[in-house]
Amino acid sequence: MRYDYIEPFVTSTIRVLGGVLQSNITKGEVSLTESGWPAGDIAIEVPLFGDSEGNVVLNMNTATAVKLSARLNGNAGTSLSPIGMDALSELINMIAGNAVSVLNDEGFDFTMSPPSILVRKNSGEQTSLLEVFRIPFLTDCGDVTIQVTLRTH
Amino acid sequence: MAHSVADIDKKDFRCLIADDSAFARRNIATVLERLGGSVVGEATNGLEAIDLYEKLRPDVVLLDITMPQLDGVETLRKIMERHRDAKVIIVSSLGHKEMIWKAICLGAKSFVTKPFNAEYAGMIIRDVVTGTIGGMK
Repeated sequence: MRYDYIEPFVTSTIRVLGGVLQSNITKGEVSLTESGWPAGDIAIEVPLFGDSEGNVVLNMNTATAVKLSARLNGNAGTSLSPIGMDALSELINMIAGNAVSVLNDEGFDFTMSPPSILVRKNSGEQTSLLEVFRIPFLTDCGDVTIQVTLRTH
Repeated sequence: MAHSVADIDKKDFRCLIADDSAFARRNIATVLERLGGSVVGEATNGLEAIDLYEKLRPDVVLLDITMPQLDGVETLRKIMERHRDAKVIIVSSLGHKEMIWKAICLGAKSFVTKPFNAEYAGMIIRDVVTGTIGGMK
């Protein structure tokens, strides 16, 4: 996968997350892995199409998801409500949209579909082997990971 | 000189919001209500937006691009084909130059990129509603 596809997702995540949380976001070490279920149990995907196809996934554990969605909704939520999940979906929609816009302004051609919540498959189920960039970010609500998978035509 | 949303004269205007995210619709509604607008309809996709536009004839439409069934670009095209005087503002996470140009050429009055600053979005909405800005014909 081309690294120039990845950088806009890093900068977009820092800008969008930092903006909506009004706090500093720290990027962790980027890793390249093979496809598979992300580490946290909450995963929301935005499918990507165009010059390359794949997706970008927002991933975190439930405790972080509850804190983050409560901050976005301006409440003191103690569980993940439908509007809480919707706020997280909108968050990855904004991250992906801003990144795709940067790529398109650089001359690439990408489009995206609306976000959808990923459901964990059976642990024994095989997935196709694709390169996945995992980029962890430390926020004051907990750790979140952005996972970018793009298959070159 | 910068204006704040609080400075805007209250003027009742009717709004349609089209966005597949309830969270996003609520954020936009908050800005509209601070301006004195009332949300008369909410659509979760482009087809619903067209249908609600025909029924409600709102003063302004806040339209997302990335939506299921019919995206915002095609929705804008269909609304403008039938109603050249429609006031549509695109509110989208996609904000690259080509997309903005396409939307304005199709008749959108303005374009707000998400995540938006509420004060800025409020000024854009006010200017479109009052006719201060109006895109291209």
